[in-house]
Amino acid sequence: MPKSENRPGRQSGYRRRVHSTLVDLVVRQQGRSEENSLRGVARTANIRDTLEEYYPKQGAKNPAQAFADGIFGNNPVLFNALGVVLIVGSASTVKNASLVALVAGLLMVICEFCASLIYKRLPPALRLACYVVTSAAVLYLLSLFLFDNYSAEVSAVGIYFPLICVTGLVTMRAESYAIHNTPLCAVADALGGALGFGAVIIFVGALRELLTLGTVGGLRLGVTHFFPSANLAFFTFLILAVFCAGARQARAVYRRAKRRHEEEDKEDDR
Amino acid sequence: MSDINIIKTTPPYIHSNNTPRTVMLQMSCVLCAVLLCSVFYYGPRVLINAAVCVLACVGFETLMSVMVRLPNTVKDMSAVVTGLIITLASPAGAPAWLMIVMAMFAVCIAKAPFGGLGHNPFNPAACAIAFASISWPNIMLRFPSSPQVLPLFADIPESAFGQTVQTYLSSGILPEYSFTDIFLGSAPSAAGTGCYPVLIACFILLAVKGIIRWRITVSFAASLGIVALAFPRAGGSLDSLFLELFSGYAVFAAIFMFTDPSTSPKSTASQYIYGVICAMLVTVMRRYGMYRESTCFALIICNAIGPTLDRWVAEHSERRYTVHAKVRK
Repeated sequence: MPKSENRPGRQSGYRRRVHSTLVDLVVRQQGRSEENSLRGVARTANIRDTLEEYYPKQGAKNPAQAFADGIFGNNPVLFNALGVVLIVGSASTVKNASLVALVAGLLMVICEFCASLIYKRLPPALRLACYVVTSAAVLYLLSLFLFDNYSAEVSAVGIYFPLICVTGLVTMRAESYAIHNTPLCAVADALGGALGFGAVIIFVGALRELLTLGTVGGLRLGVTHFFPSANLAFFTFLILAVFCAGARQARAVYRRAKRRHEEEDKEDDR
Repeated sequence: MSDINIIKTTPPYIHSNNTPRTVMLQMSCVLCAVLLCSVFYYGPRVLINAAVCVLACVGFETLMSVMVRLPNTVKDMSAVVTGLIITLASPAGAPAWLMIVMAMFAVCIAKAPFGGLGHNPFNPAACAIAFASISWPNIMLRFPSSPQVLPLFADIPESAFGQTVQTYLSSGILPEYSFTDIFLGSAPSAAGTGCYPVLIACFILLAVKGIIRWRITVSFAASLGIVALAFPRAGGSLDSLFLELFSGYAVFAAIFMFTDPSTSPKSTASQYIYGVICAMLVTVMRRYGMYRESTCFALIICNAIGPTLDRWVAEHSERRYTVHAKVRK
């Protein structure tokens, strides 16, 4: 075992994290010495571990905290990588982005409410089907209204419009948070998550629209040098990656400051 | 600890002088020779582009090191090599701002976030060229005819551009350039990828010095040649063999980009398979793809399957313990 593992404080943040992950993998792998070693590495990157890390079974206890967490602390896009396909596929202008954000938000609220009220009594295998059926039914009713009034936007979103009902935004948050909590908390979480998702998708939509067409929400700004490939999927992935990195850094800084503040408070009490 | 595999050999243990820095230094010396060739064909504008791109790469590398609070990695010279490869694989008339954008993409997006030299899953130079080819195709995929002295800073006039060999082949006719011209670099191509005698000399030098993984290049060229012989797009089989091999920047990429030590596979068998897959992808993309110069896209896809190839070969070969020890250092 390398010496430096015992004193991680001496390394800088980035290298320490990489190093501790590697050490973790090696330690776990030694437990599986009979198995093929390289397969062992693949197996340790278990999806269950990842899920438990990102979706703790018990989240915020009170509705206000759940709402705030949904907006930033547990933002579905920035920290859980949910709904990325909607952003990449459909957020080409602010109008499309806001349509998708509104529909997805509504589906989230209804699904999480139903999940915390009824579906938590069902066996896990049935729940997923229930989420999808519920959101598909709601989406069908919505589409009757939207096709009449906003047909241009709906056809611009294209295949991603029906796909909203099977996105992880709806199912994962219901499965990870709503079934463990009261309906009020679940609705607050859904509203916060919808706001968080909406903020990100509208911002990305605005950026893409500005770079490709030179407008934001239909308003012409004084930008003349256009960058047409901003409308391609890879560019959106890059933008999202930069956002996620920034948001994670901001959350880490915030949590560190908060912890320091709490420790100082404790010392003052003594 | 029974899982760790070590090669057991008897002494003497011979120390190699190859460090990342010396390898990269030799690489950049060889690339400078290619750069001189392209200055001969296109004039001093290439030198300006190279200077801008190398300086930008070094600057962004420093910036990223400062951002993650690690010791500066500029000294290992990999940024210089990346900058030179980007310059030589893009058109000689590319504007300086595009060089800076490509350097930023290569270092700040394709290399540094993954952990710097040796940890990047994709070749930074190939990523930068692919990004620029998608974003500005009318700059990146039009090549000035050669030889001519390009204006130092002004835009290239429309009359300076010529049809590349690939354009001729994709429309099914033989190019108007003679084969000698194509081989010596007098057909329009990217800045440093035209002069094949120099490139082949560079390849032999690097292979003899043990710096690049020559098996990839050899198997790539062989597979590309066999497909070209069997299914010619224009002319006879031998014409097709010559034109498919010596056009575009396939040879340049096969020497300097496919063999990149951090992205190419490690074991012998997987290197041969890797070369064959690269050649197949390049062939398919040339014939059916949107872009005429698609080697960088093929390379990025190959980079993605490289580690899997290594693992697959390791699982299926008898010498797998040796391979494991090499893979894990």
